[in-house]
Parts: sequence; structure tokens; C-alpha cells
Amino acid sequence: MERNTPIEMISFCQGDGRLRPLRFRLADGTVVRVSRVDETRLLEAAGVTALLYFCRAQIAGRELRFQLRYLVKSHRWVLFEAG
Amino acid sequence: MADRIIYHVDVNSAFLSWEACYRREHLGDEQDLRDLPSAVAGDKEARHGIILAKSTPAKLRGVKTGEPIWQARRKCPDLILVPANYGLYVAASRRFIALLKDYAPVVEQYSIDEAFVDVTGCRRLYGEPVQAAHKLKERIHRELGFTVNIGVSCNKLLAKMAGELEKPDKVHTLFPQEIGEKMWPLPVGELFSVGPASRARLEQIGVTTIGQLARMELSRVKALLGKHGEHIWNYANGRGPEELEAEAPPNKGYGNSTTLPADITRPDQGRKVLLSLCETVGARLRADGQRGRCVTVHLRTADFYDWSHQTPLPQPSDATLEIWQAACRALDQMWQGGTPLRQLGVSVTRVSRDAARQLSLFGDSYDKLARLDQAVDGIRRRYGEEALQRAVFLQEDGVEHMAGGLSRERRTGVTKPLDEEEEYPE
Ligand SMILES: [Mg+2]
Repeated sequence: MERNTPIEMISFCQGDGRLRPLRFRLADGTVVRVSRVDETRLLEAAGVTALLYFCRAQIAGRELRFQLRYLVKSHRWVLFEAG
Repeated sequence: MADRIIYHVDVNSAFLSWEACYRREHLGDEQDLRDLPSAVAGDKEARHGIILAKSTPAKLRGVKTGEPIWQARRKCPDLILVPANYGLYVAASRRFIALLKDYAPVVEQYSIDEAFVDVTGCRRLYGEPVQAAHKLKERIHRELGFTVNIGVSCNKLLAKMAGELEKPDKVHTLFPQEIGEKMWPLPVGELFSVGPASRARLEQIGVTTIGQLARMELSRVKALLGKHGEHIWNYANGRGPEELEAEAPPNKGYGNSTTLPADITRPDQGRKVLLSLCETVGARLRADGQRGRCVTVHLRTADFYDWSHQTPLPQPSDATLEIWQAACRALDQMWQGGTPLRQLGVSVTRVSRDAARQLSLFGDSYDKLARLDQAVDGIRRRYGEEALQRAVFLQEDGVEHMAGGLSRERRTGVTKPLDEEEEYPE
């Protein structure tokens, strides 16, 4: 899987401002439901802000781990890396 | 009062570091440009592109900032060049300055990648200045991903000279008792504000180190280099300004410009456009509680020739009418009509908060003007910009009554300096 791929996302905005990824679609049409968020982190490297989500999902009966990112300034989601 | 402690915080190879950090952390590049012979170049395609910043490995191969690309390539054929991305650098710079402002109350931004921080009162909070500087350096690295040098001293000059000592990722002190050992042996050209011309003249009379300059008779330095000689002689002896100019960096101001629907050729038209610009500039100054001392008018002719003229304000002002009168004086001095103009701009600079006005013997209309502006601002804030306008703008000639308008952010005080880029890449 290529790094840093843009994705379409359905996410949940909590009342306290927290943002949680729920379900996303890759360019090829594959839909992935996020089954669990293990950890979230704020990245401000070089002054550019991104929210990092270390997630899991069940795909074809197998559990996959991957990292999603929300780019704050451009309001975009990317699949940063899949392991 | 405790002795003053000033930090000079300087990003190491700023553009290159920011580029490397962005590529690694946000784009997921495996390699780090900082570990490779690499450089940020202005316009890679153009034949005259130059090196804007280089990595340490490139520096070791002899690549220099400011040299043409072809020259750098000759010394370092495998040099990796990346194009400059100013939007990213502005974002990185802002976040860097914001972190410093979060750290200490008084910060003076000196350039895109350097700032002075007054930590005099912070000993209780952060401990010994040198240890605290190491912690600040680590915090910047941890949170923002790039390294800095921190110079520690009791004034800005010595702090900056300390920051220029060995790089990268270092903390150095340069207190007055250390200048003999750490600063005087350095070549005179490394002293702050000694340019190539002064250096050449000093070298001609055999002065090659900062220490030699420091020990010269002041009268001799002045005879050689005039007023500037006195400054650098003081610097060589470790004397320089202590106070930080946190409020009003000289290049910052409040400005606005407008491109006209049709070119204008008459002075009365020009004055009217200036008035509409002064309406918005004045309102923005007042929203930020600032007064300025200088008004600049910028003109662009129909064939794209640009020029500008400045005029001082007799008293620091935020009054629309006073700014407009000054702008009209500037306009009169540069344009008497005729040449068609397509764009006009007004900016107010040398701004500061609470700049005091002297009482005028001949009566000052300022208080009246201030009350009027306050009332106008209040009405526009409540009922919108269109609620109130000067009768002169009722004439249907395409000149808006508040050129450029006031966006909500501007009215609530977040005013941007002129010529700033907003975008950064993903
Ligand atoms: Mg620097």
C-alpha cells in the first residue's frame, strides 16, 4: 500500500471537540470500518498540524493495523501507512 | 532588579530543516535531507537559481548559502536540490514563534527563523538560564521536529553573537566576562553588522579580529567609519541594546490596497480612493488598539509601474481623518494627476500600542475625531459596514466606501502584516 493516500472518511465529532474516524473508502472503492483506535497523537512537526490515529480494522477475517491522519489545515484525511 | 537574561534562538539551516522535517514527518520519507548533502534552492529550473539553505553534509563539502546552483554542483555533484516552499516556512516560523511566546512573556521576532526571548523573570519558573535553555531547545526539537542554537547573555548583541558560535543544536553563553576568550579572537567580519565594506576598511589598517577593533581608540574608529564605527566599536566591547522590541517590529504595519474598476487621472479621484482605504486601515488600527507614526502611499500606474512615498504623522494616530490627510500629502508629492493609476494602497507603519500624544498648544481635534471614529466603528460593528458611509461615496463612480472591507477577523483584532503568505502544502 502506498503511503499517504487520500481517503474519503465518515468521522464522528464529539461535543468536546474530539474527532474519531469511523469508516473510510479508498480510491479503489474498498470500504473499511475502523474497529478500534488504539492511540491518538498530535503532530506539529515543521509547524504543520496533523492528528494521528493508530487504528485497527477487520478485513477479510484478518485484523489489520494502520495509521490514519487528519490534516487540520486542509481538512483532509489520509491513510498514512498500513502495516 | 535581577540581571537581565536574554536568549537568542536561531533555527539551524531553517529552510532546509523545515523542508526535511516536513518531508519526513508528514510525507513519510524514509531518508532525512539533513543527513544527506542537500540544499533548498530558489527556482531550480532557472539558470540563475541560488542556494538558499544547505544541510551540514553539504556545508562540509563546501556548499555555501547564496552561491549559484552550478557552482555548488561543481563542488558537490550528488547534491540533492529541493525547491523552496515559502508557505511551509511561514507556517513553521509562526509555530516556532508561538512556542517561544508560550514559553516567555517578551519575545522579539528578529527574522523568519530567529527571535530574542527575555527570560529575566523566569528563573523561578525554569531554573538556571543555561539548563533552562537546554530544556527549551529539547522542547522545540520534540514538539516541532527541528534543532536550534540558543545564545545566552545579558543583552541582545551578545546573545546573538553567542548563538552564532558552533552549530548546530547547541547552547552557548557569552557574558561580558567571557568576551575576551570567546568573541575577541573571531574575525572582525563575524561581528554583528560588520559588512564586507567595513571589514575591508578595517583590514586595510591591520584590524582583523573583533578584539583588535575593541581595543582601538573610539575617535580612530569614528574617523574611519563614521557613526557606524561607533556602533560596531560598542558591539566589539559587548555593549548593545537590552530592551526587546516585542510590540512593533519595524516592518509590520497595517495596510490595504485596491485595484480600481477604471483607471483614474485626477487628484480628487485619488484622494477619494485614499479616503476609502483609510477608512479600513484606520478601523483595523483601532480594533487592535494601535497607533502609527508613518503613512505610506503606494501607486501602480496603468502600465504597471510601481512607486511609493512616505510621510510622517505629526502625532501617533489611529484617526481616519488624520491618516487620510497624511496620505493626501504623500499623494500630492508623488502624483499631480495625469498618469493613469490602476491601483492605490495606504499603509500605516511604526505602530505601537498606547503611543502617547503630546498636548498641542494650538488645540487638538484628535479627541473629537477619536469619539467620532469610535461611534462610527460601533455602528458598523452592530449594523454592518454598509450602515454608515461618508456622503462623498454616494456618487456612483465605482469607488467603494471602505475599500477592501473589514473581514470579521480583522475587526476583532487579528490583523495580518502586509505581504504574508497563507498557504502551505500538504
Ligand atoms: Mg538560522
